[in-house]
Amino acid sequence: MSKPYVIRVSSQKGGVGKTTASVNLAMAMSLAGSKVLLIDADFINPSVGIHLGIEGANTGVRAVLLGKSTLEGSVVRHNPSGLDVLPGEIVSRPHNPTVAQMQRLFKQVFKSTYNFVIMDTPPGFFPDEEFGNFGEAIIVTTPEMSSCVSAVRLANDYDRSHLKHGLVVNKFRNKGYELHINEMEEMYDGTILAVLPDSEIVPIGVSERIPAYLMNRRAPFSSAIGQLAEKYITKMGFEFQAKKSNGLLARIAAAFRLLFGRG
Amino acid sequence: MHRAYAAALLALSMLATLAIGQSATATFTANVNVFCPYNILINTQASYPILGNVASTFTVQGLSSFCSDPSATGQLQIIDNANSAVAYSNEVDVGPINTVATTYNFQFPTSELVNAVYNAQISLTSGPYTNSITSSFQMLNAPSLDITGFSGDSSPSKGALQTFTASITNNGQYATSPITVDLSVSGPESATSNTVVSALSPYQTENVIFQLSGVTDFSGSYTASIVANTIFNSVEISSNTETFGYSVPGNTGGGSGPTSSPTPTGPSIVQLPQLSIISAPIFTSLTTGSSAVYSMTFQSTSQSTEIVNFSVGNVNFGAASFSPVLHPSTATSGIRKQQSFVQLAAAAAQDPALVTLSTKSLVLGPGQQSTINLFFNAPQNLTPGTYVVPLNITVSAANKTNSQVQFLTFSVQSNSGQYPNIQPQVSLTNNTHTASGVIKITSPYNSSTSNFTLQTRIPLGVATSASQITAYGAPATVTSNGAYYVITWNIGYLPVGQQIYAYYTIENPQNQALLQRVNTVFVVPQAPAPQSVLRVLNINIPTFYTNYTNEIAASVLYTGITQSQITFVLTGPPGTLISGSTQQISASSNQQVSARFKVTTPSTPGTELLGLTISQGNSTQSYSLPVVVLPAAAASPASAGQHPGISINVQMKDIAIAAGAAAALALLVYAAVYIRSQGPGRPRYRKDRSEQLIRIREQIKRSDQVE
Repeated sequence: MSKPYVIRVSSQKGGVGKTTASVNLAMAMSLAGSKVLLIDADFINPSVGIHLGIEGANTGVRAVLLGKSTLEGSVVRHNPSGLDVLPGEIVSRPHNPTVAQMQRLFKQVFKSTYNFVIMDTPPGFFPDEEFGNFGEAIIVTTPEMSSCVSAVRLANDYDRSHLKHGLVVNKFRNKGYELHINEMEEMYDGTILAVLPDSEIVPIGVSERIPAYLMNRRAPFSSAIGQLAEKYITKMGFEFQAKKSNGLLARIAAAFRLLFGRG
Repeated sequence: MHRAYAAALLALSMLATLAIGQSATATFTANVNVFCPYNILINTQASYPILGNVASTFTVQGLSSFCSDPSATGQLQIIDNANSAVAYSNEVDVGPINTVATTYNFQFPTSELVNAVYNAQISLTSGPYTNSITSSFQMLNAPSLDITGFSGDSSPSKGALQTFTASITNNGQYATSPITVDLSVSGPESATSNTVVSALSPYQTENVIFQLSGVTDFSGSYTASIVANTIFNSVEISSNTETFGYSVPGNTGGGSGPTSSPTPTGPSIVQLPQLSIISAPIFTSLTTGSSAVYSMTFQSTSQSTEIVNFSVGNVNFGAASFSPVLHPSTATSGIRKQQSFVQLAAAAAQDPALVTLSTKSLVLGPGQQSTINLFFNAPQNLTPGTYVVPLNITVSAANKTNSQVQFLTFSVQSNSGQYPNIQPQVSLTNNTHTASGVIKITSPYNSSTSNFTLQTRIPLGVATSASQITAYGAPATVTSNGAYYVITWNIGYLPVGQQIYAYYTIENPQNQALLQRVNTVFVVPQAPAPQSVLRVLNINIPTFYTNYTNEIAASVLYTGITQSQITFVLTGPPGTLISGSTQQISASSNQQVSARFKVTTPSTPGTELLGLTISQGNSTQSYSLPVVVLPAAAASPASAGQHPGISINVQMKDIAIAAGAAAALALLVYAAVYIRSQGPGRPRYRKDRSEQLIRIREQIKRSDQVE
């Protein structure tokens, strides 16, 4: 059994949609048949639990880092999707883990049976020592110059550490004031993994605690996420179980499962 | 952004509204504010009576969903058309304005208004904007009953019929419903009477005549009062109460009359031991200058032949309606003496030939019947009043003699020649088991009479139910009003000098004495002169242009009392086309009806004189309508007519059009700015920018190498 493939979802700039991408990508991969663990490693502004409605969990990544709990004992199951989540803890001061604490976490991650681990990380740089634990990094950006420049800086950092990375353009509105995809591609000098359209379904999903991908898989945003998930799953040699898109009834049922399966 | 969309769509909606306004002004009735397009339609009538509250409605419908306002407020103002003074003002309830047409009620008291033309104005305030609509209407006087000329004989003889006359006029501007007239008499005797006369159109007058018995039997002062009532719009309307005093003089021949009305008791026919009275008159009447024959039938109940002698005693004058009495001097054993006998003046002295008998003696075998006739002669100069004739009857058989006095009552009336003459009489027949009444009705010698009513009033004590009473000989109904059984006779027409008879019977009368109290009154409504029953409320003449079609509307209030056809005829000079120039509309009493004529003017400007005739029956009203035809160049694009009574503020409409154009311009400016802000619409590859980004990337890499 191979160790989990850990994907770091990152950005140099805040507010570009890392958590949105993380949550929905993990959700899509899980629903496609993979065993996925989503770790909220954004120690500054943990919000995965907010997206999934599990912010009230009484344990999480901090407990594992501190050795107060095991990974297995801290994972929370998101019942509507079957996704396992190691939530962050919303506390007053951000927790800056030490290298040893991170090693403790990764040690347990690599002992787990997950196919993929999606790690939502805080904006900015991450300790270089940890890069070796990631199989790949996703750099999330928005189609405007400042965000893209930040993405290039992060990409340069990954390049220096020989960490593979790909670019995900989020909040793409297809408007004249945005950068053209080719411009971003030329600037990034790498692969654009996905272009996620700006869609109301995302803030609605956050408001309703139902990830956009779970709410409507037919939406353009969800389609782009699904394609990204398929890329990773097939790339790693797993079978991508393309399930039928959820119709209205399925979505209603999912919503009910979410409501009554919570807690 | 959404606000900008809303503004744009609102402007478009406004333009659409204005377009509607051009082609369908019949529904575009409000002074529409451009920023809040909605219709207000006020549903007032052309006229209202000044009585109670006026209740009406108005309808509001928003023309755009952006006009929805949950907090609109409404104000009603009633404005005097003559001086623009606000006669009444109050808030009206109005709910949220949206695209669903909603009708709301409003009302105002007519006590604040007078007989004039007013405008009802409903104003709705929605935020900073106020829309209003005005409707014109007339306030008309509700039916008003006035009684005038109430009079009678100020000094009637004792026992004479008293005749009261009065005139009832409707001084309102609406027709009444049928009118009840109540007459009451108080004094030594009291009586009440009432009748229902037909409805009256505005300013119509009806004369009513009451002829009553039992209100002159005792000397003294009497007061009669009369009042009329009708119902209009569920409200009882009463006339003024008029009074009339009269006095009945005392006896002139000596003695004194009773001070209170005697109560009839006991049987009026007292049978003798050997003789049965089969039939006899109880109460008869005749007019002065006439004579009448009445009969009495006797049957012997003796086993032997008997001799019956008759004689007429002193005829008493002015003693109607007293108890059956016996002459004390002729009373015999077996006949109860009455203590209430009153010997009145001997009227026989006036004219010994007043009563004569066909025979003074009869010889009857066992069980044999025979009849005698009584001739009553009332010369022209005979004092009207009631005469009581004592008929002395003496029966002798087998050396046994019995005597009694049978009193017969005669009422003598003067023949005025002005009113129909009523001569009622009541007899007991069928071996006194049946009371038979005959009413002789004679028309005045110099005029015919039509549509008059008689009422025969039978005291309740006479019968146990109305089913014992049968009326025939003239159209009649038998009812009970709680005090009397009333036979109402409706006489359609009576030619000059002719007479008819009406008959009734009462089977097994319970109290024969009360039969003397049966009286008959009559009411003669004299046909009033025809008045106009058409009140023109509104003739709407809009502006005309050459070769132009518009609508002339006329509204009238029909104040006749029966359903009728109203005919509208509009005529014009050659070259003027009138569609539907003759229209007939059915109307009921107090109904408002309108006729609309489509008029197409000729090609030359000027003044056209149109003629409008509105008629109903014999009532016709004609109007000349000058129609000013303006040159077509000045014509408004409006092509449809206007609802009569609803004014459209043309100036406000023009302002609305201008404001709509401004809104459209604002929309275009906004669209230009918005499109510009959107840029080309798609991300555009710009090589210069891409090169710049690459330079930045290289700069980042170089900096990393330096570190």
